[in-house]
Amino acid sequence: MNVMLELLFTLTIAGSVASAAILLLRLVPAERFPAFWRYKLGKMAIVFYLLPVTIALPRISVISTLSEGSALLRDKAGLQMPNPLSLSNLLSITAKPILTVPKNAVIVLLALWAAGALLFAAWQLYGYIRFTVVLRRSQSAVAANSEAAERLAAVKADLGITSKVALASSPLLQSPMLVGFFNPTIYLPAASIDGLDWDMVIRHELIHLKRKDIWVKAASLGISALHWFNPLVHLLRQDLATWSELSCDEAVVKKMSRSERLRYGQTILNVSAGNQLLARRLPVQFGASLSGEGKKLKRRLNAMLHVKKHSKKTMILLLSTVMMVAAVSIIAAIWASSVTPAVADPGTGDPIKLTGLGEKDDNESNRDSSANLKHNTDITSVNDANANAIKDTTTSPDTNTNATNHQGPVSEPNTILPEPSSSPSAAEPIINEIAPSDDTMLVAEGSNSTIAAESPQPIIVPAPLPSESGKISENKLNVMEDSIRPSVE
Amino acid sequence: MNHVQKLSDTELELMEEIWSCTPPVTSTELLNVFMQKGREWKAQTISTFLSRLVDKGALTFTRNGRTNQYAPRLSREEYKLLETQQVLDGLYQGSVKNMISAMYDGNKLSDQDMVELKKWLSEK
Repeated sequence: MNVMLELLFTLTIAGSVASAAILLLRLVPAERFPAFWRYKLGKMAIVFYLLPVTIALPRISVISTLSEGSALLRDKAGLQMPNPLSLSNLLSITAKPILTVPKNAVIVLLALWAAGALLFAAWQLYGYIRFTVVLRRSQSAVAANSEAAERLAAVKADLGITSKVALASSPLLQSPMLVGFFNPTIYLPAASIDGLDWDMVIRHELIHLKRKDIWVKAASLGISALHWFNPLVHLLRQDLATWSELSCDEAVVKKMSRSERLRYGQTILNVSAGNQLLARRLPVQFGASLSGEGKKLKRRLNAMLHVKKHSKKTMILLLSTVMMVAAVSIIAAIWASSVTPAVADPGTGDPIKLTGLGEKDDNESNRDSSANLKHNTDITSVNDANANAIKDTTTSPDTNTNATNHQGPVSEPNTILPEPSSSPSAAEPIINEIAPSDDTMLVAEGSNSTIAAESPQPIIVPAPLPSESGKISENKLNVMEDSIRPSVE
Repeated sequence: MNHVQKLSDTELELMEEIWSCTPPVTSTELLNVFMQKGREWKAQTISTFLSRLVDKGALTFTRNGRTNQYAPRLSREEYKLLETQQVLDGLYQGSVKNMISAMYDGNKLSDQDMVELKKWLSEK
């Protein structure tokens, strides 16, 4: 259950940071930051919402230590291990402000979350099934010698798509669409629409197919179900839909001349009209302002007309923006997994409280996280010195629990040693919270996924063991308590 | 208003009668038809419904002397099609949008917007 909570919490934070960054990028003008890259960012945010990047990291490091048998593997491990470790180390995962929450409350929360997720998913699925049933009932085949069918074959060959794509038409549609995950079908409107360029219509849909945009959309729906309580997810989903459309346009028109682009624009315009059957002919006033929907379409057309190739310099800038967002999100996730509330045993009946086990001083952790920013964009690139240090300690034969306790502080000497006796009176109540047996369990439980997972590595783990390390923990606690307080209150 | 408004059950009943007659019809003719079916409607009720159907875009009327003549603006099949279309649109805008890729995925554009955008595009 604790793992569940940590998982959810970490995913939410990581994803939210990524999507917040994406929403912030809305401030950047569209021409400066092309849709393709925004779409990439959005997809990355999905990954953060979906995959427990940070929880996976310590686990991976455990696996690599376990596989120390062969020299080859050890070499590999030496290369890979340090990064997750240094990541967590630098970000002071070791510092654990733990908010404990009563077990019952957690059960209620998790149940609520699961119910919401199931409801959301069921509702979406129901809508989709009804839609496809109604659509399929109305569909008719498209003649093989029609222009659309011929264009389909030609554009498929042009884009290098070999999978099967069906073609059908329905009187219910005004806009062409691509439907189906496993047996994709391009549906065309049955009514003849003036000013349609079939080549462009089909190209647009096939590019969606090639980019697996339907799957991306489904994934965005999946994270919306998992994180239904998080408004940022729903904003991200809307953004993703927009950017998938715009970046598809980008791909379609990239090599087109201006007049071809205008034709593409007219094609889009012509499929966006309402059904003309019963349209009441209101006199159309010129110069009236566009509706919200109209403005949106105008923006899309405008963006399409202004698609241009980007210089190498912009590309690098864009790429680094993406990496920055990734880095910040990972950092946030790591932080989140370290501050996940722990589940309290209802027996202790204690209300929410704060405990902690040591903290680096602010300067150091700041410096580290900025260094980290540079490093964790590439998981395998490692600070060499750091890597060696860790390798040495892990491979040294006499690593035992005692060594662990001693080395813990050694790796961060600045923090613990300078002020060994700062305000002992203030420290005492906190120590009391940790020292009793049930609370020790509490703390251990809260930190299990990180500390427990990393315990084979001697560097981290300033676990509150009762013996001689107790003194050190006390002091760490002091520092911790001081630095944490302002942010909590 | 680019689409037909959904008709109520009574309105649809009235439309069914109008579709099965040869248009145009007058309110007196309809009154007689319903009388034969054993439904006593007041002349006032019928004309209220008829004018509502005109408002909803399902009927057109022409004034012929002192009586109004009504004719359907769309056939029964067209109405059925529109109805399913609206169901489909509703589903699409609701959630299905997130599982398929349409070339244009917004709400249907109004004539007003259409004219405006075409003008804008042609000036480009």
